Amino acid sequence: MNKKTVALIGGSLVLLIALSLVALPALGYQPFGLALALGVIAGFIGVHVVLSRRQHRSLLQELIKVDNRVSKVEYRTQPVHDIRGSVVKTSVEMREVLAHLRELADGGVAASPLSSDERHAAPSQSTERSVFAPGAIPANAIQGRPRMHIAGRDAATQDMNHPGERNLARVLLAAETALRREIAYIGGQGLIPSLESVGSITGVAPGMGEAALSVSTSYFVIDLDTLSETPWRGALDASRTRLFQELRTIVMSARKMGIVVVVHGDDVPSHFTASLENLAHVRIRNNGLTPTRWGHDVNSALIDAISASKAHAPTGEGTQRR
Amino acid sequence: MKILLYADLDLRLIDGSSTWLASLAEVLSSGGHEVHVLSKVRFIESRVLDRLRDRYPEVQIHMPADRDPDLSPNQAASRAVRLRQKHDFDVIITRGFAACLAFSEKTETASVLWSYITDLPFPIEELSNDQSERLQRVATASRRMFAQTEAARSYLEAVAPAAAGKTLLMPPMIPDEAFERDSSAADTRLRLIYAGKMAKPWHTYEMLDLPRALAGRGVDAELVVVGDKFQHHEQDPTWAKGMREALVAAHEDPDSHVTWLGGIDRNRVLHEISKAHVGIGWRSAELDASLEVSTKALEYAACETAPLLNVSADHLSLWGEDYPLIVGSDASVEQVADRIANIAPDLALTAAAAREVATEYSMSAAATRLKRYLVRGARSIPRTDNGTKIVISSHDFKFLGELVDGLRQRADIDLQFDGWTSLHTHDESSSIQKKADADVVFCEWAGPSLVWHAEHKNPGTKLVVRLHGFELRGPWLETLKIDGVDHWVFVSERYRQIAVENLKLAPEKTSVIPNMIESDDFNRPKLAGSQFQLGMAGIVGYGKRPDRALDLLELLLESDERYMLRIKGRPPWDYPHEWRDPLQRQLYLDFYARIRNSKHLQNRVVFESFSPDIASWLRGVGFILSPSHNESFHLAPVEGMASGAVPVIWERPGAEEIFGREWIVQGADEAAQRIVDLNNSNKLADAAGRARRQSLQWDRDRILNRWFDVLGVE
Repeated sequence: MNKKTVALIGGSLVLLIALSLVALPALGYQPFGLALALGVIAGFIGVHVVLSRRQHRSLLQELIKVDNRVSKVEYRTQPVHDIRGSVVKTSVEMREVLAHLRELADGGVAASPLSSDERHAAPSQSTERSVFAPGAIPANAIQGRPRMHIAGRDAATQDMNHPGERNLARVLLAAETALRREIAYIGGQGLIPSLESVGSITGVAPGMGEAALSVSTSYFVIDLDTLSETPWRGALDASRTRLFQELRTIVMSARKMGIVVVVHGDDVPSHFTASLENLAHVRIRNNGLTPTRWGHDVNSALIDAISASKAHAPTGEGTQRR
Repeated sequence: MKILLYADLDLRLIDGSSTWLASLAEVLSSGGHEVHVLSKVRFIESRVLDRLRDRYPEVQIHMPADRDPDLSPNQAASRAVRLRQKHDFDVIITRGFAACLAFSEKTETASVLWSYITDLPFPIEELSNDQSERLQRVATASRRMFAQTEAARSYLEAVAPAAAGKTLLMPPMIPDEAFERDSSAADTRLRLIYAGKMAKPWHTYEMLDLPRALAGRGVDAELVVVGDKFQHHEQDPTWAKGMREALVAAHEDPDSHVTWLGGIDRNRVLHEISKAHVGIGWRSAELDASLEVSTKALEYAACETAPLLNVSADHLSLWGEDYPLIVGSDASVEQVADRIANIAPDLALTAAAAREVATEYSMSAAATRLKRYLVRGARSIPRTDNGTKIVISSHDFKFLGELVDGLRQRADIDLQFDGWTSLHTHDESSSIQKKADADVVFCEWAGPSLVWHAEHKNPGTKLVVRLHGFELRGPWLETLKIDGVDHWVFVSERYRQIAVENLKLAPEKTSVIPNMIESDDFNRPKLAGSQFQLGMAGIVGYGKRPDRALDLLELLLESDERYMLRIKGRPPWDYPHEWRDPLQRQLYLDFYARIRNSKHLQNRVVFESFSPDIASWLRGVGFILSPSHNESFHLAPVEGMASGAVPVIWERPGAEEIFGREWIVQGADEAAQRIVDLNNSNKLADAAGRARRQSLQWDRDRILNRWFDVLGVE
């Protein structure tokens, strides 16, 4: 039984008790009976408010923490030894807060027991959301490290926002439909069968802007080998700078949304090739994969699918112009 | 060494607890230590201490003053403080939860406190949140903890994580003379003995019928009962009275073949046991779950008297799966008599085998064990007037357990901590105050704390840093006043070379000191079936390559479906800074989805959450994996090796320098082949032994002195 069900049953019971108190012959329409009924409802709402406030207070504390850090950097109210580190940390915290807000919006936090707000997805609906979507499995915020200054392994003890098992269960118990990756794609037909073996593809065309990406998109794949077959033809050439600017804006948005940007192919470098490559999380060429910080043999369904694709065969020099 | 013993018990009574205290005092005295015993009660005569006083009259007994009431735990702790001021004890061993708590709350006793909580709330449903929190407080404050058995140690470390890494075994101690006794009284009559308190859970009432039941099977038997303590039974308040009456009646009835000797001193108890063929250790079901081993059964065995025991996992583990004198807790007297009658012809062999098992519980074995404990854990250097002040500055103290423990053994070191709240943040005024008169500042991690201490270094202070690895990518090092750092320590030669090159360090200001372990703590018996359990401790970041472990497991499952992968540690989403990396997140999701999608893997991969009791966890691991793509050291396989697990290390730069060639594999195929070969060829124990011996190079005893050199303390 999930929190929502419990809350709904609790709410119903409270209303039932309140109505019974009013309906009782000894109490019905008597001031004492009405007062008692109102008292029961008020007490229940009070308990719920306190519980909700606790949840929201934790969110508020996180927001205040972020705000303090921003202020510290902005106004130099305290010594800041590593501005870059502080900014990175702020960015992380903001993402955590966003993840919490997203959870609230998705019904991750218990619904009001007296509300029938349908925003809170039913279990079957929530399990269908792709687990690969950037926000589907949120980071688990650290609430504290109570033993951090005690020497030894115990120092690594952390109080987490949620039990880590919750996310594990989401992945390991995910419905089949939740295991499809949503892939935004720019490229020709060659890669499509491979990509479709691991996810659902949405083509990204000029003019669509950031709307081409959804919160469920987990990868944005750009195939340089077949770029010329697409409306993005020439986008890496200085003569089509505006087109590249549009592509760059979408790629930047993807990165901000936590989407993995994959650039594939070995085309002859053009003016903006390096700029695009610099924005890629993964660069797949015929002769290898970057980054290699975890080794050359990482198991990745999408990367493996691209690497195995027939479309990955070397292309003749100058055959693909953009 | 000066050692004070205190147990929350009445030394006027003879029972297992008071006998333990007397035995411990005797064992410690035999090691040449100056032993003091603080008694909770005032007494004129204590039969349980007679043996100790005869052998070691120099043992000092401290008691409450005349007319003072018995000591409460707090009063005992206060008394211990006063005694320590006078005698400067190196170690205070305290037994009992309440007493340990009281002693742990006094700074003067906590620093040398070794706590033995025998009344551990158990089973786990008996453990309240308050008790759990108190246990954790005791464990945190105590220098060492004791547990009677491996099971008790594992339980304690799980419910009080601070006990992990500092809990030692304190098994029962059986006098050596017991082992020297010859079971010469082997006459024609079968002699059974029970020595201990009369208690309902020990079936003392029922056992009075055993001679009669055996006679019915043609076995002429007698039962000798030793002990004068009748335990009240809460659910059956009349039981103790009935037990006494039945015992007296049986003793007075010559046809019962029951003799009651009452309370006698320990030497005579052992003498009586040695005259018997079977010692009764038959108990009710409520004791089957006990975390403790029966001292009574061990005493029987030591005297070459075969103990009659309940069937329980612990008994089968200790006495052997084939031990014949085993009965069910709910067996009837007739069934017990059947069992005894059936093996009567083989009793001599059974008793000899049991004595063999009991050997490691002898007092001389205990003396050897305790000597090692004291050398490795007790204060080794006394207080001095001109101590060295060492300040350890860090945001993450997890790799410092053994070093801090070693430094705390030295009373000539004033050890203080400048704890940073994160890699980048600290209370600057506190840091300034801490380092003000420090002789040495040691920065654990070359993080921003090092930058700060180098910038604010006092003249005359020595600044030492240990760089682990990730710090080399830290932008803060660009602002480090490198000349302010007097010495750099690295955990491997490879990282020393990288740092010397990248940071332009003077090689003579650097040294390599590997991570260290408390090897004794990991040296625990393996659980049955561990040869099919692969262990991996820590899978974050992705460079730890948990996917390679899945590759290996898939290959192994093709040969034997018993293989299992146990992953210990936090999941990646518990590290927000790692989880925000989109590519890494997707790789982890692929990893989990792979398990989700594979019928083979689904039930063969176990995720176990982070906890400090890694030594206990390693008991169930036969092979410890290190599939990492990159590591500066990797402590997990080292700890695994110390536990007797065989390491499987994937080839990577620097791996051979640390682990040697023997354990390195080129990939999952080679790893699988090696594991299968070891399991099929019965060479696993040899390999595990080699791994364990190799791990001793990282033992604290070998590494600590190198740290003392670097920190400038002789």
